[in-house]
Amino acid sequence: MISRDKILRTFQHADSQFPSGAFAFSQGLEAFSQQQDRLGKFDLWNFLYAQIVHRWASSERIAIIRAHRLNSDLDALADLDAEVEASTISEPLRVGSRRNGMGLLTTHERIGTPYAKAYRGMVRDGKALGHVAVVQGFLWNALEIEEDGAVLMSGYQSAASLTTAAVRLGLVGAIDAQAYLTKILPVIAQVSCSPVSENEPLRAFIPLSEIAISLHGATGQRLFSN
Amino acid sequence: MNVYWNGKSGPPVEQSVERDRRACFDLSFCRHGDRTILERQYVAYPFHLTRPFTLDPHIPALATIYQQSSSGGVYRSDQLTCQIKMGARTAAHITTQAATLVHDCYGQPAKQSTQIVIEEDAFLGLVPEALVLFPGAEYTTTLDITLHATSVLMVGESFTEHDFTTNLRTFEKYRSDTVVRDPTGRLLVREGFEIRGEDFASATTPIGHFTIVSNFLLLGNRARLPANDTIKNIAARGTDCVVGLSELPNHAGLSIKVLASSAAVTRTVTDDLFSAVVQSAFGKIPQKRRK
Repeated sequence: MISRDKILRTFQHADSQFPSGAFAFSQGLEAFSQQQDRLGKFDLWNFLYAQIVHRWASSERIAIIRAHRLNSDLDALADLDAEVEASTISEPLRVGSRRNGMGLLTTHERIGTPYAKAYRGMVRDGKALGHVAVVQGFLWNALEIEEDGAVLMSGYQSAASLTTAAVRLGLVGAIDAQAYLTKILPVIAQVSCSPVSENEPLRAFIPLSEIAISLHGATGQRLFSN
Repeated sequence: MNVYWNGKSGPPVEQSVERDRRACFDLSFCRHGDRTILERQYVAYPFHLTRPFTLDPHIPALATIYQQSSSGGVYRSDQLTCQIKMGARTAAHITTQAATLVHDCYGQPAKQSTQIVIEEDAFLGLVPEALVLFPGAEYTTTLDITLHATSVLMVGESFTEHDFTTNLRTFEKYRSDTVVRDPTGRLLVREGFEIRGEDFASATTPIGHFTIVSNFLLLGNRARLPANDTIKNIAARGTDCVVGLSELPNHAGLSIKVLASSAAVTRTVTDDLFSAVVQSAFGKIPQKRRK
């Protein structure tokens, strides 16, 4: 049985108030919603489902689990980081992931999470890249959050950050956002059960979102980094 | 499951190792004067090869190969292997004459594994026509590339589904894994995806209202690859399609993703991209390939 202090620690690190820097990224939601004339009608549920099932479950979740299992072996984490870099084809998503990871590392260094300072140093020295999924996986392991808990935290944060972005962009109201979140949680629970092998590759199939992000680079004002 | 001509079915046929070894398309190119020639070839059923063509008199180094199939597509349990070696200063365009059909696999997936080795100052355009995934098709393609930094490689894949039975059945699964390394073995790019037919055809499909997906990687020497503006101009010309362009990790080149609503649009964009890549690498526009 998970101890009560571990459950509370999970709440703390899954909380949107935790300064992780994730609020700056919409994973293409802003880009898609602003280019409906070219990409077709934007539907928040379809977008959310595609992001969770066809990206998070087969890519981000894999990186988190593999990082978690490396048990703070920093050199092995740097190798995994390089694999995440090679596997993230969209440049804005790749750059965003590194920025987000560095933000998270900085916060954890300041609150004294084990290994955060050492790995941040490696990123600064160019010995590691600091992708957010790798950083989450190993830091949450260092905080003694179980692998399953780490996966569910990541899934929840991915979904919640998208619905929050939708609210900030005025696409849905706060109550509707919670309805979408309620609907996606069972999907996260289901896809997070799929087993992950030792060197499982990262895979993603979100071509419409990636094209939206690419086209977004040419547009003017925007709220989110990607 | 094995389905016979009279509609009866039986247990799956065991895949023999012997058959695996035979289904290959193995080509090795070398430079001879100002031309690229086939140094070695081993092509076995279901693959078929006539001979290399020189379709561009003003680019004599560029050989064109039509990879053909004498079987009518990809079938259950097919284990196809391709090996392509481009020697120093060689250039080739390998394509197919028409779309490749992937038939119902009845639970016995088919696979194609391709290995490409490209030595210095070489050029390869591996741009087959689209895969058409029939109901029940289950297909995995893997592509392992070793690329010298001075060379240029364009690889493309396109796929769509077609329910010819109109029974509202779709393909089972399509998986694609591409790994690009430099000659020292350093990982540059690893792109993979897997999509089930039911997700491809659902309301929540990650391709929106489009029907054909294309992925292109333009890899290698950035100075010999088309400028981003050239690709954006090609994208802007296309109607009924959207095109996304991104710099690949590790300065490996460019990723181009295309979603289109018709095969004709996909072919036009593919041809235009190939033409731009050849023009950028050789300074001359290639002839249009007749298919």
